[in-house]
Amino acid sequence: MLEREVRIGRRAAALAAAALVAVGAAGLPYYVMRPFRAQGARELALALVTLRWSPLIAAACVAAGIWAAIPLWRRAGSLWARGARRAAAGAGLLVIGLSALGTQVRVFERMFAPMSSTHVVPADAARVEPDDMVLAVRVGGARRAYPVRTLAYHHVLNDEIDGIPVVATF
Amino acid sequence: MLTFRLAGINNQNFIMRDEETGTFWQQVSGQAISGPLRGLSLEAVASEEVGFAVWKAEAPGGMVLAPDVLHAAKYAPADWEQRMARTPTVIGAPDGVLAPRELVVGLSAGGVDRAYPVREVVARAPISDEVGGTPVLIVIGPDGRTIRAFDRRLGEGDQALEISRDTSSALVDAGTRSAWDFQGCATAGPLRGRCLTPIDLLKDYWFDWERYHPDTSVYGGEGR
Repeated sequence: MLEREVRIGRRAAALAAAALVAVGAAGLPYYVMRPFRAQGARELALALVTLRWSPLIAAACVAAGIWAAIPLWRRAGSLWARGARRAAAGAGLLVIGLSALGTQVRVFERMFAPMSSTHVVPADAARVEPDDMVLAVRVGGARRAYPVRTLAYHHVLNDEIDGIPVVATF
Repeated sequence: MLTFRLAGINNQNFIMRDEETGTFWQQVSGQAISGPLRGLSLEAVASEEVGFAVWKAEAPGGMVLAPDVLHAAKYAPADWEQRMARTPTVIGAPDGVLAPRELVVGLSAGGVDRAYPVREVVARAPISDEVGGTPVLIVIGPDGRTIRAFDRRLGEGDQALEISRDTSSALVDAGTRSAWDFQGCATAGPLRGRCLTPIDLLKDYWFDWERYHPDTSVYGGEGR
């Protein structure tokens, strides 16, 4: 009996740890890189590594969480004890699941929407004010202008000029 | 070929992630700072910020990016630069040389970096200067907004031209009295048809330029 309780205690701890790791994997990159916050070199490096691997880390947490939750769910003990165990297991899995979903959301792409098209028009047809600034490039023989007010919204534009892939950033 | 997405922020300069390898790239430098391609750099395509009317006159047949109809209503208003000037910064700038949000144009020549505050350029252009042994000329366009830089020598080893505005506000060089246009080409006089070599300028906020060019000097500041 005691052995069983120790095992359940260990699994509960494992579930809590998995939930903590999942929340960290999902949240750390955005905690570090949130706007209007200064980023130190080391925390930024950690944030980027975490961002890169967070979907995998979260998936591992989901697997570990399910494994840890199984004995907590079992039908044993009083109604009260079973209810408490199941509530804890459910809460842990919910936190892990939400974190895993969170790692699939590209937060900065939602804040700064990518451009959905790279349609270009001749200068005479462009609706750009004469005084507006453009980012002008020349690739091969082709000349292209990216209105700054457009780039200042999307920030990143993947384009191709004369067969050369370019990325315009602002 | 890589496709870039906005993935993060590094002290108000953004970080891109490429979808093909998952590498993170710093916007201002084009350097891979984390991930499988770390250490590599994107090749810079020469670019400049130009007033649309100036560009249109100079680039017949040029094409212009059309707005994304899904988002065009939310694009920056015409006075967005003035609004940005009031946006707080997070890393500040040392010595109080310039305000963090002061707009500068920066250039690099002979291993030396120098920033020119845009308001100084607007007030004083054309500016003759020397950066890292290169005689440079900073000029402002007919729109009063577009800024360009040129090497004041026609060829390597040549003497630097002294170019200033004459009474009719045309750019002329002191030696031959040839007239120069905003593209750096002589349009009249003995040097007609000759062109100066452009020098790339980066328009940036002082805090960002200073962070990526920590040894930069400032035009109008110490050691000018």
